[in-house]
Amino acid sequence: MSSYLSETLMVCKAHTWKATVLPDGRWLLYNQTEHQAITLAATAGILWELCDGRTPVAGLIQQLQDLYPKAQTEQLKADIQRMIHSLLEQELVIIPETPAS
Amino acid sequence: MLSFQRRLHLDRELDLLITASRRHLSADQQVHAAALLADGSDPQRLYNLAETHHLKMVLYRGLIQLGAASPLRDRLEREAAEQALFYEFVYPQQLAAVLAALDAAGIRALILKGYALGQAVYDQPVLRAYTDFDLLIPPDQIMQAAHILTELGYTRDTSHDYPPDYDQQHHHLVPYVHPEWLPVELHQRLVTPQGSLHIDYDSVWAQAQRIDIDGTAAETLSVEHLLIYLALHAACNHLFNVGLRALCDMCEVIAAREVPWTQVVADCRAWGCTRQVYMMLRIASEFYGPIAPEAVFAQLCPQGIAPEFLNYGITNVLETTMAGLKTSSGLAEVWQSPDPAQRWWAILARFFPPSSEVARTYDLANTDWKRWLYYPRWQARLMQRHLATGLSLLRSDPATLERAQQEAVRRDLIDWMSKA
Repeated sequence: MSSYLSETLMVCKAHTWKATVLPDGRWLLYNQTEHQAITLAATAGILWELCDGRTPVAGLIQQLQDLYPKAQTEQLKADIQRMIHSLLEQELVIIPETPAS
Repeated sequence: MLSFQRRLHLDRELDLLITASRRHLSADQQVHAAALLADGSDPQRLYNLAETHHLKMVLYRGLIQLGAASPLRDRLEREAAEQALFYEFVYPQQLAAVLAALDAAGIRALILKGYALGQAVYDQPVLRAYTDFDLLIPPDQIMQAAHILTELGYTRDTSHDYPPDYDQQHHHLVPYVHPEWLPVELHQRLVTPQGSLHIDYDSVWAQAQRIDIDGTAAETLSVEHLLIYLALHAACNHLFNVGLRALCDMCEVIAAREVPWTQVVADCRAWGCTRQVYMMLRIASEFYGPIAPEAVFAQLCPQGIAPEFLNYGITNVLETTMAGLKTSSGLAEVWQSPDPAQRWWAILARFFPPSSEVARTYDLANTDWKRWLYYPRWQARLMQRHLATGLSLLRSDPATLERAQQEAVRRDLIDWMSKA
C-alpha cells in the first residue's frame, strides 16, 4: 500500500496527455509526444479530468462523493488515494510546484 | 420490426445489426434486439457484417445500450480503445496538419464525411469509421492544394490504373497517399456532373459551418447540405452500393441535428436532385423506420418510386455491390425484349455498327477505307467481352438472367434519377 497523500495536496493533469471517453465510459489517454496510450476506468478518468492543480485531494474526494452519493465515504477516500498514486506513478498527473492559477 | 422484412429476407444477425445501430433504442427495439441476441444469433457473423458495413463501433454502442454481457461485446470492447486511439487522436492530428498547411497557403477546404461526421454528428469520432480524408477545395485552387500535399510527403496514388483524364472527369483528383498518414482525396465537386444536377457551390461555401479539429479551426458542410451530399454521394457516385453505414450517417444527422427540411427541399429542387435525395431517404426509412416527415417525401417526389428501383437500391446497400451486368450492359438491355427476333436484330446491329462508329473507335477518318478492315477487330473485341455472358443468357442461366434484369433496372434507375 502506498503512503497516504495529504488531503491538502494539489495534483494537476500532465499537459502531454489528451483524453477521450470511449462509448463504454472508459477513458482513453494519449500522450502526443511519446505516442503512448492508456485506458482508465470511468471513475479514474473522471478523477484525472478533475485534477486541475487548484483543487486539493479533499476537494476531489468531495466532487466524486457528489457524483457517486451511494459510495461509502471511507471506501471512496481509500479508492481515490489509490487512484491518485496510480496516476502519479504513470505520470498522468503531476504535483505542481505552485498551484495552477 | 422492420417494415420491409416482408419483402426481403433478413437473417437475425442483419436484423440485429440494423436494430442495434440506432442512436437511441426504444424499449420495443431493446426487447427485439435482446431476443435476437438470446435466440442463437451467430456472433462471428454479426461481427463480420458489422465489419463489412463499417459499423463495428456503432454496434458496440448498441450492445452497451442493451446492457447484455457477451463475448462479442468483450471483443469490441478490446477493439474500442485501439480504434479510438486512431480516430480520436492520430487521424485528427494528421487532418489538422493537412488543413493547417492548406490554410497557410490561403486555400479554403471543407471536410466532407469522415471525421466531420464523427465529431459533429455522431459526437464521438470513433463511431464513424473512414479510410481517407475527403476535402472539398475551390476548383481554381485544387492544383495548388495538390502541390501543398506533395510538400507534406504525399504522392499521387499509383496502385491503381487511373485513366489519364481521371482528374478532369472525376469529382475528385487521383487520391494522394502518404507513407504514414491517411490518404487525401481533393474534391473539386461534390459529385461527378450528370443529368439535371446543378449544385450551387456558392451557397455550399457560404453556408459552411465551423468545426474544431485537434484545436485547429476548420469547416464542414451545413446540415442541409450535408444531408443532400450524403444522399448524392450514395446515389450518384455509388448507385447505393454504400453499405449500411451511409444509411446510418443519414439517420444520425437527422437524430442529432435540427434539419431545416423546408430548406432541404428547396435546395434539392434548385439543384435538380429531388429524386436522389428522396430515394436515399426512402431506403433509409425501409431499414430504420420513417426518418423524415411524410410531407418531405411528398414534396421531393410526389409520384413516388417504382418498387423495382427501391428493391434495387436496397439490394445494393445490403450487398455493398452494384447489382447488374455493367460490363455487358447493352446485351442485358436487349435481352429484356420478349421477342427473340428483336434480341437477335439488336445483337447483329451491334456486330455491324455504322462505319462511322468503327472509324471513331479506332481514330480513323470517317471516309478512310481502312475502317472496313477494322470490323473483324471490333467483332473480336465484342466476343471477348460478352461471349461468356451471352452463352449464359442463351442457356437461360438463372443467375445471369437475374443480373441482366438487374442491369436493365440499373439503367432505368440512372435515367430516372437524371431527370429529377
